[in-house]
Amino acid sequence: MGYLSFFAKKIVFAVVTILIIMTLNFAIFRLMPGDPIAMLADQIRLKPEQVQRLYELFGLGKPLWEQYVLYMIQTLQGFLGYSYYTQHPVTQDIMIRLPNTLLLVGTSTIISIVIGMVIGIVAAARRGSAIDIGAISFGFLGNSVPTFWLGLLLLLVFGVNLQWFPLRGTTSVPSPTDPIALVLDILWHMTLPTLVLVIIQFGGFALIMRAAMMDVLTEDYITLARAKGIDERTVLYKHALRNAMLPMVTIIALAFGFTLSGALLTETVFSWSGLGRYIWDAIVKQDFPALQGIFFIISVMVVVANLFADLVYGLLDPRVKHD
Amino acid sequence: MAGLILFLIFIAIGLLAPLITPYDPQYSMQLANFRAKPEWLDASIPPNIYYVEDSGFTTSNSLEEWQITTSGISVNWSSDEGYPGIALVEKGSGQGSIELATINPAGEGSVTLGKTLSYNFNPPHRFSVHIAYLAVVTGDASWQAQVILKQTTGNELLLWSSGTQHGTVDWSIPKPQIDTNDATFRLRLFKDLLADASKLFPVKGDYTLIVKLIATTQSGSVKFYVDDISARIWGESFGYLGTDNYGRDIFTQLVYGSRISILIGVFSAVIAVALGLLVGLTSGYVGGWVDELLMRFNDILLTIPGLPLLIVLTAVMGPSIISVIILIGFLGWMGIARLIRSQVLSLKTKAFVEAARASGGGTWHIIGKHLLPNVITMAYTQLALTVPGAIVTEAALSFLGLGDPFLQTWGKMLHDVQYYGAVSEWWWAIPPGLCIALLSMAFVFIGYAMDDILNPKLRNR
Repeated sequence: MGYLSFFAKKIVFAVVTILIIMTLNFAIFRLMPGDPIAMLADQIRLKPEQVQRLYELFGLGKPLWEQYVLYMIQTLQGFLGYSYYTQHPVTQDIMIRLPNTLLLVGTSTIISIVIGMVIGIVAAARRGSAIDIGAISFGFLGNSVPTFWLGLLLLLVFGVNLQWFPLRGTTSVPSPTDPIALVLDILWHMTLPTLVLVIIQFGGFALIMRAAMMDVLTEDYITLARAKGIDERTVLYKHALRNAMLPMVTIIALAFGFTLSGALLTETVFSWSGLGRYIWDAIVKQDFPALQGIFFIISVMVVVANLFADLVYGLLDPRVKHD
Repeated sequence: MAGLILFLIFIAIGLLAPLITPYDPQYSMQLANFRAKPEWLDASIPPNIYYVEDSGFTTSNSLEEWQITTSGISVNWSSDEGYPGIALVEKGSGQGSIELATINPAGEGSVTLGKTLSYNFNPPHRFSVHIAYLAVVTGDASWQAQVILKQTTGNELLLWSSGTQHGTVDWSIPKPQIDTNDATFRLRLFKDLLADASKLFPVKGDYTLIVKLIATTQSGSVKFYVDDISARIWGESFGYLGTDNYGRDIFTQLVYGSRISILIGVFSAVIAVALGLLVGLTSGYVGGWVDELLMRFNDILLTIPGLPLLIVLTAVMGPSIISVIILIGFLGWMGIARLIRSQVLSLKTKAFVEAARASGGGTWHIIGKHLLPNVITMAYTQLALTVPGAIVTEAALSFLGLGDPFLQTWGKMLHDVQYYGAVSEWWWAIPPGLCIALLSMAFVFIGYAMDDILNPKLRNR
């Protein structure tokens, strides 16, 4: 099996996954209580001819397979329905809020990876040390501590009691006009949410890095390097580290979905105006199209991230050719 | 060990919940003022204070706690009349009340019933008085009833007056209610919508609650009955952890939450592990296209982000505890199936499986009788390790407002904290999350301990 078939296989898998997600969304759309269009018309007081147009748009009343095809085509065109609450197209609503979420996810992931990898390497090099035990504990913590509660806790300590950081929002109101001041203002607002996501994430990264390092350290070439009398430092950082970093590529992509979910919850706590806040409002308002739209877009992002990781991994690790 | 002990503690708390706390986590409302603080926090915060000991006047001794000054009116305990309550609104104490009756057929009479309380706390925010009365008038007579609060300064605040009445009135209660939570009452008494009971009890000292009746008779009589007199300074502090926005006990919710969380965690994990076993065993042993299909399906489900899918599904299916358990279970089996499958793949080549097959054992016989017993220990470990995820996931759903509306879970408590902006009330915000974390960690520890015991090979890793 060569590169080409490896890549083709991954791309086909990603496409199939997205199709299945769309089908799932279609099925959920059909499962929704009541007539979705009647509900929408009720919420935003449409004129009868507008309602008629919506029925035609969604193809309700036509055979199920026709509706399905129509749904798929519309989704592929980027149309995810109208939000009951904001009354805008869901896609538009999401696209406005997505950058804020990605800013949070991106920043926290990068910080977590750096911290996680450093701690993981040190932990693997000094097994049983305080750092090792600390890394393992934080790894467990990430799975046991609810993200949103950690957010509430940091908000309580650093926001309410110490008043170092703002209690809510993405920027101050009114936001500063000076661009540098604006950037600083946003950084100030995103410190706590980022910190939450880093605390939740980095332990997991550290554990995986540690495991990968330890896997590599049992390989023959490491034994050989040590036998040659190369000092431990060089063995660790020159020989082991490069290979141990390979699986991290996949893990980071896999963690993307987890981090996004964590970000949704964290945003809610800090009233960060991203997708999390949108979900909170959508749940309160029973805004099903918005929830479905968010699910769809997040899923597609995760699938694409995974595909990207697979492709990068394929390029980095020539062994996949022989899989 | 630490995990097991923690787990047993939570089990005990869950099982003994009704013994630990007398209240209901969901339906015991108005136990104190809304958002009361914990009792131990500050001794100067008022707890619940009730003015009257026997508010129902159920025995003839009930009058003893009152200071009575009267002229022209007799004061007696009556067993004939009693406040029957208002259907669907409140219950009355039934038979037994105070009878205030005019003595002279013509003339004026007045009577005051006073009860003094020495108040030793910071000003409270809510004060309410309940009183029920019945007036029986014969001939030409009129009466007026009043409820008065006499402050430390001697200042008398008229909380309620019936106005001069000429006729018989069946059992009634004052309208508007004598309650500082009632806007009409506040406006009338304080001329200020934003004022509260701190204006009634501004300083420490003696405050007297007075029930007053003035009766004028030309040629007739007035018999006035009062019953169910209770006056309450609503606690600004209550219990171990205060109260929530409905005046429900937070400690009670915490205690009952342990029950629900364990149930949700364990049941979802059982579903996930059962599915994982089924898929893993089938996929691993049967192999071929079945394996390929199941594993691709597995990959796809692994890729789809779980929480957003759960949010959509719970929102559509309606947030009930059963559907949440089932959904979490059905979205949690994938990793387990992979582990079981890889175990089965290595078992498949072992001699005992070959032998079973050679002696004519069918697929399901081999899976059930030979493979399952060999992977079941792994399944138990996975069970323990799956519970934390399920607990945290349920908490996340509840936090977002997708919790069962009839259950007060730890996640729901945190939802309330967020919804009502109560982050600064740390006695409310911290305990639920701490419990989630501790219970989850208990299962993680149990899982790893089991792994250590059941897979001794891995011990030196």
